[in-house]
Amino acid sequence: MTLQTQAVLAVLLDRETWGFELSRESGLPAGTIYPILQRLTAAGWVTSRWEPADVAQAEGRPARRYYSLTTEGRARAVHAMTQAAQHRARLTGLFSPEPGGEHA
Amino acid sequence: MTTRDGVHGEMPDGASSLTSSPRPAARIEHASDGTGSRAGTAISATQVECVAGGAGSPADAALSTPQVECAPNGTGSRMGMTTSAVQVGCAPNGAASPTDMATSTARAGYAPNAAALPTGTATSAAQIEHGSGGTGSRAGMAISAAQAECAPSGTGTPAGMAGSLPHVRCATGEGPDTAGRRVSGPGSGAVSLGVVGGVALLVGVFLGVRGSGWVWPLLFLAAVVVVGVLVGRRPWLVVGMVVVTGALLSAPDGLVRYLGSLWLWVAALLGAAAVLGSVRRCVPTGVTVLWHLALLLPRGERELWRAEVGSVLHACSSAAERRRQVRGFLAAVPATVLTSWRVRR
Repeated sequence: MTLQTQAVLAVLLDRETWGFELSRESGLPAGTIYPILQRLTAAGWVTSRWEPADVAQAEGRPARRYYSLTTEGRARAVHAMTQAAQHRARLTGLFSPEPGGEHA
Repeated sequence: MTTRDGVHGEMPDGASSLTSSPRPAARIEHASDGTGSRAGTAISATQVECVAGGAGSPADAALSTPQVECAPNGTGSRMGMTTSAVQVGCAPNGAASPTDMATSTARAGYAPNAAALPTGTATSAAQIEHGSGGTGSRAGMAISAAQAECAPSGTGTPAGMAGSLPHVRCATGEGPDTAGRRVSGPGSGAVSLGVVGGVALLVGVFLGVRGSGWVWPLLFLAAVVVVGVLVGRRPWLVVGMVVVTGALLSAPDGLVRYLGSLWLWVAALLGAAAVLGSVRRCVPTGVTVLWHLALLLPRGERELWRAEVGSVLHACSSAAERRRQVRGFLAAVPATVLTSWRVRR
């Protein structure tokens, strides 16, 4: 799982959100996020809904597409994020010096 | 623009007026519904009225006093005068389009969809340009002063001239109350074209007679000039062409290469300007490119992607953020296209 996907999942685990907010919170451009969301949607992890048109019209803006994790997607995302964190920790451990292992 | 003595006031009811005392004072009052005005005077006085509701009432003027009234909804005006220069511009929705006016030349801008009016007077010539709803006209005024009135529909009714007093009025739905020389609207264009065409013909005949044998080529050139004026509405360009061509034809042989070089440079610069202008108009923006790139996506995905792009770009609060998002979408087009087709299969 790429770091970008992890960033998107981390935001979606928190709450339902839409493209621009997702972009702002993950730090990725919305264009990068879109194919990730497509893949996650195709895999059944993410579902999306368009906000009602009258709400958008009342606020004078285009309708937003909200993304959220499905129940299955949430469970898998949590699992994948845990695994990714463990993997990261292992990698970090490889490169960090062990206590007392330094020799002159 | 020199502003020496000006007072600004705002009228929330939409009507605005500006009146100034005859000598070095100017006062501008303007409406709050998007109308903006700015004025300044030095030496002589300036009067400007901006009326949001449509009708503009004239202001009085003193000797050597330019007077400008601009009207309608969302019209902004800006005016500044010094002894030698005046800026006048009117534009809709609060945007002001300034115009420069010098002692010898005046020019005023007239914005579409809002009857704004310009005025220009000068010692020797004035030029008024305006357009509304796609129509535009341009006219030249010579000597002293001019009065003009014009309506928002793009038609203008000019007024008379008196003393050294320029007077321009522009109001929505209000007709002129004076008669005089037509300085705006379709008629003024005809006057201007006639003058330019006549001058070009006279120059052609004169130079042709002097040069013996150049009469017909110069008459042909004059005809081309008239056509050019009719098509391009750029009298100054045509006059310049005639002058340079005439100088080339009548100059001694030794000077021809210098004048030829000058003509070449002018032509090159004009050509470059035309090319740059065309490129600037033709090159699409990033958003337009994105819209067209959506054609690469599967049919069912195009509108979804466009809607996503639209909602994201609409939410961008700054131009920098918007550019970043547009670049992001552009850079991710290959991945988006591949993913879309792969997911669809």
